[in-house]
Amino acid sequence: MEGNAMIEIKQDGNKLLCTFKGFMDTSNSGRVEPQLRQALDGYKGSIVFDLQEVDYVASAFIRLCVAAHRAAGAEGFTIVNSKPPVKKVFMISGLQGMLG
Amino acid sequence: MSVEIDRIMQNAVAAAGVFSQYSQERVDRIVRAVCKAAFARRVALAKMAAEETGIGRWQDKVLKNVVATQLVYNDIKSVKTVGIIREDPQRGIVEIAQPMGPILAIIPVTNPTSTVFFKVLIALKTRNPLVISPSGKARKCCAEAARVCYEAALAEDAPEDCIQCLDSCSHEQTQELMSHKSLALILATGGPSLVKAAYSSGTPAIGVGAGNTPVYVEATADIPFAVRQILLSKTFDYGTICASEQAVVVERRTAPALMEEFRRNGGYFLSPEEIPKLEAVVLDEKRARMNPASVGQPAAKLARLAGLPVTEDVRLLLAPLEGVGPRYPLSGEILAPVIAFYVTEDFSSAVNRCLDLNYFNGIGHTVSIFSNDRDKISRFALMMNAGRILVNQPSSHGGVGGMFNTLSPSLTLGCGTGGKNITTDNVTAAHLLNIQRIAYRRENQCFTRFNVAAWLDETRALPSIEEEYDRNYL
Repeated sequence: MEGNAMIEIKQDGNKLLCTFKGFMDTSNSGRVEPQLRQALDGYKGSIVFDLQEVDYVASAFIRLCVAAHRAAGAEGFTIVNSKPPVKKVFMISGLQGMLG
Repeated sequence: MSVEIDRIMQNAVAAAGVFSQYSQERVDRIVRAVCKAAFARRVALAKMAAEETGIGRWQDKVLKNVVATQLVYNDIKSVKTVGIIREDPQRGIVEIAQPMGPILAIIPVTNPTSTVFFKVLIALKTRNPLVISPSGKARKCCAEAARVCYEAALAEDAPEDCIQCLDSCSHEQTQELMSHKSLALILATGGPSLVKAAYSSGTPAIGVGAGNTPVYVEATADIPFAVRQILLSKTFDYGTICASEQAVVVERRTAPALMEEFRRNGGYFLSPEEIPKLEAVVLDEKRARMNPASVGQPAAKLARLAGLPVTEDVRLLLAPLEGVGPRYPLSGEILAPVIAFYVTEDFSSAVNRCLDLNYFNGIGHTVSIFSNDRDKISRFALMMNAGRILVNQPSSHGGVGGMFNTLSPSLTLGCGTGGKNITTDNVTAAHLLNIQRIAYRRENQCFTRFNVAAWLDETRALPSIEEEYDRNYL
């Protein structure tokens, strides 16, 4: 990742791998949203969010996850490599189905 | 309402009225006498419970009876439960303990006589009459435990009908009792459907949640010690304590030593082919719930039924699994000497695995860790949703309390709102009181001298109001 970029998006076959980095607070979630929305627009394959380097998620980031989940369908969206504090957010939010 | 239920409740209400006149000294004499009588029958009633239910080991049920009598008594004997129990002259607050009224005690098949003893002691200590509704498979031993307690209580001049035990109670009658207008509280220790029925009855209830306790053997753990403790716990009464370990989680670098230690001490690791065979024995046909016939049965018997090539001295069956959830049926609660086994890469992935287990039907109950690293213990604890986070101890005994830690000894373990309960505490006498507070006049000087007109002026913002309100009272 370069500069202020908090997201790296790679197409890997039929899979869209989105790697996030740092504090995904409201501001940073808003910063990555346009790039993500553009990538998701019309996309038909599966989507993976890699959160290995994410230390915090705000509601705005959860909304991005829900949007990706909708775009890819229940089976097509997965969150991987979340650290325990971030994983706990998804467990408490009842979104554990998104976790790989 | 049926005549029989009404009669029982009338008796209970009358007992509550009489009990309300008793002094602390009188109550304490009754509780001491009941404890002594119950303790004297700890072995006979343990044998009776094991024989009637066909669950667990009578020797371990003796210890449960000891916990429910000697240890519970020791924990509550000095607690004030009558009249004025606390005074704070500075704050002008005086607390008065009042009994709640008749309590319905639901008794599970897994710990029948010990739960009767426990609930009787905490109810009598708080001057609450008790109506005991035993599991259908443990009626005789519960009736005998209740009789022993009641006779000892009467001998110390306790109110008539302060303890009543239902001889037979249909599902409808239990529902009727739960929603009876004279019932003050339900102490619901049992399966999820029964606890839900209690909460849905309209009567206040203290229930329990299901457990699915992960035990994380962290890299700094003393492995031989951890294995001894886990075996002690998971084989205790053949695994019938709801706080018992349900899954071992270990990092890859320490897994071989841990596995070797388990094998050396009677642990048998299932092969992938053997796992479905054991599932067929310990779970129902849909692989969704425990098979009641396997609850509290020895490992050798379960292994034999599954056709596993084990010797009679096998103590624990360990199932290495790759995931958690309905696709891995042995990742849920099994009240028998069967435990899931997970190997993870590092601390984070181990905590994540424990989170998965914690949230798979075990929210709010108990988790366990063996470690000598305080920082990692804290980080683990902060991630879990559990009323009890037990460190370096057998979780069956640790969850119940009073043996390996200073938690209140209890046969009713609260699981907080995650487990649909009102408390995460080990339930004890303190939970069976209505606390009234006398509040003497102690003026809030900031409030009484403040000019209320300032609040009526909406142009005034909070910081400027606060500055005026708190002036000279920093």
